[in-house]
Amino acid sequence: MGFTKSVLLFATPCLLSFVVAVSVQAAATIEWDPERLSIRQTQGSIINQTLTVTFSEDAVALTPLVTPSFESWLTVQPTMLPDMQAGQSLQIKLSGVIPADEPLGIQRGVLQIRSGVNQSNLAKPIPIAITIIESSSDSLPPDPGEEGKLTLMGIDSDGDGLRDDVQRYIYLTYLDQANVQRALRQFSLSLQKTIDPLRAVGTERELAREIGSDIDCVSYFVDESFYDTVQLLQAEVINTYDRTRQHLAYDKELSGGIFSASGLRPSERYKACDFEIAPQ
Amino acid sequence: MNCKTRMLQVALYSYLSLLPVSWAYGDPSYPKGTIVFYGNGVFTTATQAEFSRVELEKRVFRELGNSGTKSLLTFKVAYNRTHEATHGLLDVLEAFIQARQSFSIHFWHWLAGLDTFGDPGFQAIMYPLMAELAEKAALQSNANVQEHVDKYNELLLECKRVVVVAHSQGNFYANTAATGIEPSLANAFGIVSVANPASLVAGPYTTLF
Repeated sequence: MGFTKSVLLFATPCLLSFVVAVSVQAAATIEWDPERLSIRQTQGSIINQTLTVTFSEDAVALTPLVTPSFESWLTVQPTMLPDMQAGQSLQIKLSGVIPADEPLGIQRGVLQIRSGVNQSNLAKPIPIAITIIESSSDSLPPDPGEEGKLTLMGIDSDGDGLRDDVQRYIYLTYLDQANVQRALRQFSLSLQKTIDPLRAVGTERELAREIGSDIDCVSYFVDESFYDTVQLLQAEVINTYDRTRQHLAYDKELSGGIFSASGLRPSERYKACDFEIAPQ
Repeated sequence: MNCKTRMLQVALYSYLSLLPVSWAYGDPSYPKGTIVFYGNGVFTTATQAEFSRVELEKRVFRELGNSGTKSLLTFKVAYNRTHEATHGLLDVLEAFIQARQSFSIHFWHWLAGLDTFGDPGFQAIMYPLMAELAEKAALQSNANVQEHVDKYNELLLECKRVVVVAHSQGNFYANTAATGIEPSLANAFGIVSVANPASLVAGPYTTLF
């Protein structure tokens, strides 16, 4: 009995101090924007994400760190952070290339910031979930971000004719729908021509017929959600003020016209597609 | 019986007895079929008119089920530019940017009716402007429909029926086009009027209200 009492007398303060220590450590001192990072990437693709962290208290000797599961292919910039005062924010970049043989599935971890002489973790770390999907012949170019909006024709880093941001939108929005992706890609390529400053004068009618035919192709693969699908895609392609003005200039030339599209019956509209149709 | 005589005979009782929409569903008297034109309304681009053409076709075909008359229908777009540069989509674009402080792809979402923007401030700016622009567009509805008229007459001469499904301001254009139809073929031409802001439909009509 005497031994048990001694153990309790010793253990209770230890337990209490541990609880207090944990409580102190769990106090929120940083906020993340976004609050969590959840992205979907193909094997072999590039990760390029920017996060903003805001400090609610002064903090010194700061070091960002990702959990070991990401360490081999994900880097954090800057590696050492400046001392921060309460209310200050800074941006942290996560970048890297997912190995081509990285197993498919969701990888979870956190990005945390350590502080002070003891390098204790600041609450809260930001949860990261990266869903790794199979790469295909349509492997994605990096997200061009705002830079991709600076010119009418944007950025096409892989030289496939389709703007990178549109390529990514189609692929990531219609995952596992190969024919829908290809049909929307065909439509987007034509739609891009409407804003091409180098397009020859007088080609509007021909282009309108081409677009009508492409829309027929899309309609073969997209039924119930057809209207929303094509409207949303158009918004992605004509996604800046300058592109909108250019598209409206093209549209003006079509006034009073008759457009016949492919002329194919709905059941035969796969013939309006210029790609090899994947087995369903 | 030749095609024209037959057209006249059939069209006579079609006009007297059938709703315009059923009239468009094809008829064995017209083995060369019916061409259905979608005539768009205001603030619609040609590409968006194509979207509507496909959507119209899908809905009509769904309605028809397995009916063989589907094979007699062909859908096309008769594009009405009801938004000339001085008071049209460009004005809408500029007003949108002022109301939202910047351009965003939501401009297209909103234009397509996919995003309504419940913000009362935005609606207070945009809706009166849209109404004003639509009114101006109506006043210029004598715009170019000659290409439409030529195409309609060409098809009618091929013993095809022509139906224009006119939406909103597109009704002004369809009504104007109707006046250019070759009189001897006029019975094979019809208009299905949707959300009609005009005071008339060129031809017989029925209405829900």
